[in-house]
Amino acid sequence: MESELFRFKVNLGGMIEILSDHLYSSPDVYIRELLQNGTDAIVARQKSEEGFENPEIRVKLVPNQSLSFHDNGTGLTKDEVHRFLAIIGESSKKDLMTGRVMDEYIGRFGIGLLSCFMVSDEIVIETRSVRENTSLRWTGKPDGTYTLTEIPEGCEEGTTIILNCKDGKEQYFSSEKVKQLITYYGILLPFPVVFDDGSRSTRMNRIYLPWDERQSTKEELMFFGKTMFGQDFLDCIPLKSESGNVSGVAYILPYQVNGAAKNYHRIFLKNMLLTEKGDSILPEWAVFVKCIINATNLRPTASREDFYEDELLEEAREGIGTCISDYIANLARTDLEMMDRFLGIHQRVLKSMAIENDELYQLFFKYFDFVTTRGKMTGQELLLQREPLVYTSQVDEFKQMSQIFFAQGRLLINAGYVYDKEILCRTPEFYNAEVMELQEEEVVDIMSDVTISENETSHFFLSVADRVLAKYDCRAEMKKFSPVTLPAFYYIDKQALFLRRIQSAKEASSPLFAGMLSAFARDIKKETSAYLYFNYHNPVIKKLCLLEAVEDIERFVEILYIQTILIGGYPMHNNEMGILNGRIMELIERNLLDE
Amino acid sequence: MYDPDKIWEDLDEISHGKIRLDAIHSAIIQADKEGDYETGFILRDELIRESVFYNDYMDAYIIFPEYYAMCEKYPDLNEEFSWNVIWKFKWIIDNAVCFYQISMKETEQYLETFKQLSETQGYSLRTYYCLMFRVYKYSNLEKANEYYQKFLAEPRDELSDCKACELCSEIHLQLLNGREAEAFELFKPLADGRYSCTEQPSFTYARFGEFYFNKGEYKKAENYYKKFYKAVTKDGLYSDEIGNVVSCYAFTNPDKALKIFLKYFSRVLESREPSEIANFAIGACHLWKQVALKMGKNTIIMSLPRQFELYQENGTYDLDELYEHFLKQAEKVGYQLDESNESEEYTGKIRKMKGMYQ
Repeated sequence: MESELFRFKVNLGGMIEILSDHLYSSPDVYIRELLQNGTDAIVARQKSEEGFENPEIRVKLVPNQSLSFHDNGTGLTKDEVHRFLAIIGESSKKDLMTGRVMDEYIGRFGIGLLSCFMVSDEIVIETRSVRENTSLRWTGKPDGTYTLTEIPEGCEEGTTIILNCKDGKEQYFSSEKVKQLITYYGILLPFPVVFDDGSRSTRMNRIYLPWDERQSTKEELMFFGKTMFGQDFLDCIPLKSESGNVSGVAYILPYQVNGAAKNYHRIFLKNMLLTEKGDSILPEWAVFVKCIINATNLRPTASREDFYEDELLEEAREGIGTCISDYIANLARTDLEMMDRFLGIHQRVLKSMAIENDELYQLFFKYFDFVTTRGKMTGQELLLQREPLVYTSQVDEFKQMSQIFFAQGRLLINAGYVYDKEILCRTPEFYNAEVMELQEEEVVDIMSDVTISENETSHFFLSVADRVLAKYDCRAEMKKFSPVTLPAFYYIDKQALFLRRIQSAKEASSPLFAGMLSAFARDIKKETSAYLYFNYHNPVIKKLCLLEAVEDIERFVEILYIQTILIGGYPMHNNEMGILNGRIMELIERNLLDE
Repeated sequence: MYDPDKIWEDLDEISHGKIRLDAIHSAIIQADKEGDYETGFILRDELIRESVFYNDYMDAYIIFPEYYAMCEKYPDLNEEFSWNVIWKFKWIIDNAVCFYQISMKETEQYLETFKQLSETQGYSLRTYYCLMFRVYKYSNLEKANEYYQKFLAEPRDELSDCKACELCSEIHLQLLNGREAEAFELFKPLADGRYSCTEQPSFTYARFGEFYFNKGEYKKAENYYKKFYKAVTKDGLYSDEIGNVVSCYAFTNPDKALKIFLKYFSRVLESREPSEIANFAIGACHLWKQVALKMGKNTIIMSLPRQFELYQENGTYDLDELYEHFLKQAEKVGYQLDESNESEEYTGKIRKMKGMYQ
């Protein structure tokens, strides 16, 4: 049997459904597609016809009924109508020889026109090419059929696309909606887009890129940003990347942002809005800016709602990143007041960025603030200290330890705030600094030992205290430390804290989970523990050391212990508050009895 | 002054991870001190979520028993939050096999309790059967298959995992049974984006990665692990399977494997999740051996955390020593997991690995 040639048939209705459900984010894009086609036709005419003047797109709306888009671009010949309007995927923007889409054109894929079927049951195109004098009317329907006739009375040079409103799509044919979409997508088109809704004719795009082919001042750029975004900014950063031929401005937000925040930008491709999302073109750490960017040589995705991820885009992104980091470096050198304002707002997000980004780390570390026992210090000031940079990774721990460290004039850094610990831990990678987390040995070092005679005096008290505290998995020690007003100091290492949490959980849980919790507890090293350090310098402790009655010592030790747990914000066991109340009550009753 | 609204505002400011976890712990202590059991309960709920998605699960296991008990203790909480509790219970059971401290017997008790709760609260047994086949998939494939059939017969309801996560579980089971074609058929709606969630299809890529890695098809495995890794790092999700990614790249791209190893090593050193530790140790073993084989090196220079047992000030490490160290760790933790789970999951992996390098 001889082989026969068949053609795949495409269900155009199904194709349109795929476009509307999966490719395009919303029917709004039909306006963008019409603008793109009109723009490309005008660009084609500008390329082929020297002296072509007054390019224009005219949009005429009969509200809720019909919409026409006229461009005075190159128009289509009969042959071109058959080729480009009848074959899906055939783009008129391809170079006939190479099949490549030329860089000047926005549209590439030849399917944009189909988006009009999302809002209209028919597309009518009236066109007269500048190369032929024949006026043609092409009428296409979503079932894939089309007619082509000559218009005997002729039509304007260029192309007019006429859409009639589909049932249920009236909202896309309202004056307000169409104007909004034209402004949204086409505000920066370099030739007039005029809108006429029957009541008046208005030019919709009066804004130009201030940096297009000229040097612009900062004031102009700031004003442009305010016009486009409707808000003020702290400052602006000109952006330029040769890769992708990208230019624009980054506006520094005057308020704090979350590291995960998604800002809305204005990203244009050849002066047509592509997307408000900056994910693809901006470095992920640039969360503190909103940008207006225009690219001419980057590839869009099939839906033309974002950039295609390729090497060129990556290079463009790096280029933009360099512009922003150069600006910041320059700011640090030349405008400290602005730098302070900038850091005051964005320090936290900059810290989050610097953890992963070496360049940013080195740029910013010296300016970052840290809370320490010597007050707020910058990274620069920390580097000048001639001692190890010791930090605590919990705010509560810092609160506890800072009293002692401060009293002894020692540096302790609070790394309990977000990102501070990670930032500090990276310091040795770039600077000659020793950074360490506060360890138990460190804690013990800041306290001095009691003398032999002091040891003898406190021995009885300490042995009772040690016995009492054993039931709390805590050991008692007598030391001397500043400040003298602090009677006791509770120290628990991470493992012991974790054990404490498990024990709290066991007390509060049903037997179903007892086995699991016990197994977790067994895994914790036996030698981990918590300590209650009594301060022999403190007058209360000195007095307690002279007590002889065991019950009195027990009472006071438990009060002191639970008090320090409370102040330190450690997890309480169920009965500890009860014990505290009980012990205080005993003291009160005893005091009343004595009276 | 105690202000629960301020507590939540402050927590919203903190990015996910250890610091947020600590902050939630502190907030729970505050709420408990004030006797605000409702806020304390909701904070515990938040802590479980934070621990499961952004940390090593351990805090979830510690806090869940009291969280569960609170619902029994306070009837008004039970009325409002019983769905939350049973949902969190699902996570606890699902990841129990990652902890050798939880025996299979205990897991089965939890499953039985979960079944009772499902029936009492009027849910279908689909989720229960789903947990059953997930729990048994490595230890008793036949049993897992049985429960899978029961799972299919039950209707979806509010207790079911999202469709995307269910599909991931089904795909994994098919792959463990060696039914590649069936797995791909199930994968279609995940691949084309019809179903997705925070974790999917990222975690399904890891399932395929694991499947091809075990078959020795490293390049294919790499394609999947690449997507998995990209999604996990982009979204900041915690995964205990980073070690598997290291294993795969050890064969296909040792430079990248080393980069990933260095990026996550500090985290794993502090991890309390045995399966993460075991997987990472196995990955590290492959890495040192492959570096030695492919690059002809005996030593490697790199910057490791000070708390590492073999830490060298000069940054120079002997590859054989590293291999022995991580092998010992993999064996210790892996065998404990297998004993607890009554399976040979890690024993098998380690045996195969050792066989490669003898």
